[in-house]
Amino acid sequence: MLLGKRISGRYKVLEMIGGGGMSNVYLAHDMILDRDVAIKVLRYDFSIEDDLHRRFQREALSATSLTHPNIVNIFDVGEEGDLQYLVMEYVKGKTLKHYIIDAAPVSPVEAVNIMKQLTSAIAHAHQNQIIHRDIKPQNILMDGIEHVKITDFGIAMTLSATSFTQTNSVLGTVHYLSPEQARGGTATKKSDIYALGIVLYELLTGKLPFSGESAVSIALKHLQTDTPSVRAVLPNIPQSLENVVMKATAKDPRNRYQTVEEMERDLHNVLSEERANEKAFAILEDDGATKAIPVIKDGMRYEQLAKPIHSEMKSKLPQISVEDKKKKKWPIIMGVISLLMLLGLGIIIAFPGIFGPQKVEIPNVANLPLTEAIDIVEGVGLVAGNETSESSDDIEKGQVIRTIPQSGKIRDEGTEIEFIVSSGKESVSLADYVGRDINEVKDLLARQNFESVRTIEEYSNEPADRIISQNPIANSEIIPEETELVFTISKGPRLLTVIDLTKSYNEQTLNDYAQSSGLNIRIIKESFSEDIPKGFVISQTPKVGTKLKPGSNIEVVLSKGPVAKKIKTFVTMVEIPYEPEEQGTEQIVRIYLQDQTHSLAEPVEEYVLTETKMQRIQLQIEEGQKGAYRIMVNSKVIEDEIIEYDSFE
Amino acid sequence: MKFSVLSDIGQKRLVNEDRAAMYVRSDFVHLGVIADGMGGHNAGDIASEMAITQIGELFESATAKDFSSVETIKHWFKSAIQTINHAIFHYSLTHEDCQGMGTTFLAVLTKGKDTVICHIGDSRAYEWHSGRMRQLTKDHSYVNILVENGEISKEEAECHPQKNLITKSLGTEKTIEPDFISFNFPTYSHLLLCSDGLSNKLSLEDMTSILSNRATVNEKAIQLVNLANQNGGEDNISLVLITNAKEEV
Repeated sequence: MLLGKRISGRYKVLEMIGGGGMSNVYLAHDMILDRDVAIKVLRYDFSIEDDLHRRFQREALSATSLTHPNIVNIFDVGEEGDLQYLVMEYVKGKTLKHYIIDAAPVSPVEAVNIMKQLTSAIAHAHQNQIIHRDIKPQNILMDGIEHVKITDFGIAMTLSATSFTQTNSVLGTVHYLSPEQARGGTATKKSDIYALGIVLYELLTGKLPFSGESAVSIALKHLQTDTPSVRAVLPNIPQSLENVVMKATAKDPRNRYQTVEEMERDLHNVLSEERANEKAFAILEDDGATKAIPVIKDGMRYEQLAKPIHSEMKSKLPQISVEDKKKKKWPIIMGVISLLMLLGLGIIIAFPGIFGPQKVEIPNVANLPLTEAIDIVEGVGLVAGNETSESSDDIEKGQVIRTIPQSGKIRDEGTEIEFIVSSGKESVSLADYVGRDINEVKDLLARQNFESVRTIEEYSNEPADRIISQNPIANSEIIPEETELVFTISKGPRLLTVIDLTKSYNEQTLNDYAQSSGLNIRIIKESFSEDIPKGFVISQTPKVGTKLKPGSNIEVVLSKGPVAKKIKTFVTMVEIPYEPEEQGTEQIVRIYLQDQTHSLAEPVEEYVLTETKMQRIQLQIEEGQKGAYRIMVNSKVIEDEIIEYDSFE
Repeated sequence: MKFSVLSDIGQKRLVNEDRAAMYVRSDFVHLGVIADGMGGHNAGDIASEMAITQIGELFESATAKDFSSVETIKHWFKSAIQTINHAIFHYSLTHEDCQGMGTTFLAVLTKGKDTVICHIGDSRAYEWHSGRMRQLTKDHSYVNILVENGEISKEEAECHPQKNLITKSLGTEKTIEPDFISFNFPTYSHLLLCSDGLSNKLSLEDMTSILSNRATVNEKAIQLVNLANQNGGEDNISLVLITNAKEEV
């Protein structure tokens, strides 16, 4: 602690009056000039950053050149050892932040009074090309009643520069941060104007315009959210005064006061009568924004136009083409029909004498004995002609089936009539069906009216369903309707049902089975098996229950008994680097293995390492198992690996 | 699984506030951790040290059940993070010099192919696979938020003055919600965890070319740190490099 000490032999540190973050502020006594001073001691260690150190000194020194009633005077910049310090005018009082907490909202008159002092001070600094960069009520001191002094000129810059060489600092106070600073740009005079606008907002309302859960969310609001209306909080604030806040805090620096002097001048008459009915501050829309609207409108109009045109074309065109086709077809069809009708009429008119008289109708003599039929025919004036016999299924032998010309026809008297006389039912010569498939034959026979067709099945070496014999035999003259046809067909050979040979049959009993069954057993393979004893059947083809012809083969696989598990050898070389804390010290290496014979519990090898070494690792890994190795140097694992059986060859 | 852990003070800093570690359990669960400390009056190394030590103790004393699935691993991480966050936060409140201290936290836990990354701050995890690198974590940084909000471009973010402002850190707030990334760590690939002292100094191309060369894991790690130092080494440089690529020896 510095309390009670003298800095540079001159400033006696009396008490700490402020601090936090990068600096502490002490009340000290200048032993030479015999006055109280404030000393700001930086906590930052510049020793590693020369550039920054020089920059800090340069900026602090330039701040000493500022002399203004509303700026805290800097007397001296110095260093003692690692300690960097600024000697400043000691202002007895509190910060504007405390004042706002106690007294806000302050009246418009008082707020304007304070702001006039602040703008005057900043105007002076800007004339000297010094930008404050960190204006906030915490950096403004109140000396007596309503007299304010700004402090920490220039230091903000240096401190923000240091903060980004440090890793991972958290975002600081962002309530007065201009959008360009929030975006990461450099602070300009316009940034000071922005911060002054926020200070005015806070004076008038007692609140900060942007609040949020985190510094980041507040920083984003500076970028994206318009400054809220002061009059929304306190409606009796004149619009002209709200306009000062709005103009100072415009997002785009170009829309703010051009200079802090302009802001200062605005503040001078902001509460005057003639400005009582001022209009609210508004930023003129730039060209980009006004153009955007017609662009969107054009787009919509185009769509509206385009859609109906499109659908009209689609619905109308097909209708037109359908009507066209119909109109063209109808006349052709009508023409053909009328032509046909005219032709028919023409035929009737041209041959009128075709149905003449002096004719007899041929009588129906079917089903009558021939003699009777001849009598009838001759009775009507016709002449009996030849007789022809023909078999018939339904007209008895010797009776007339039909005449030629047939009955009902009109003929001249004396026309010769031929009689077709029935010879009775037709007898046929029975075909030879032996050797053919019964199903095929049945289809054939279905069209012939056999009295019945029977089948008798029996085992035979002929394929199933083949006809082995028939009764009556082939070439017999038969009348189907009176014949019972009997076929003997094959059921195929007598089949054997395969039994389950697995597990209980060995070579000896398989032979016995082969002899007794008439099947052939073939041993096609011998395999390892965990659960079938050596010599017994593991599997068979075909499987149990299959029907087989005598003499067929059954293939079996015999067991060779259980197999010894497969083991693969995994070999790798691992580099064990010799990296001792101190050159020359020993490193103890322990190798742990897990495989068929090792577990990881105890090291399989342990030695002292004095130089980088290649270690051979060999694992015997059983099929389905995992191996592993772990290499420790002193107490640290430097490498480990799990090796799956399938992961290598 | 082979790994290399390095933490280098760099060229300019007087204190190494980074911590890096690799923990291996006897059941072949691995945990690699990076913590980049910050804040307080030279107390950044206290926060990172607390984070590294405590996560190691919690890891060693965890049950196999805690790591039985990606879900249980995340659950384990969440509760471990709350414990450590509370410890650092409480410590900073009770030790004046440690006010505001905190640390980034980046851990990767692998169990077989299941890999879970737990992440707070701007330390980064990269995956190298078949000659390509991709960044797995998304920085919890102010510039990243500006980029996501469309305020600045990615190029502007690269050289932004507030590049190092982080929006989340372990131990600076009462509660903390880490990000999780889970993925299958493919064979023949590398996983690189690093502090910004490395990622600010090396381009993705630099890292890719080093990880793609035929050096051993240790040599690659040393090459990465050396290059960061050659490029200025303004900050501490730490990394954990994990590989399951089989090295040809």
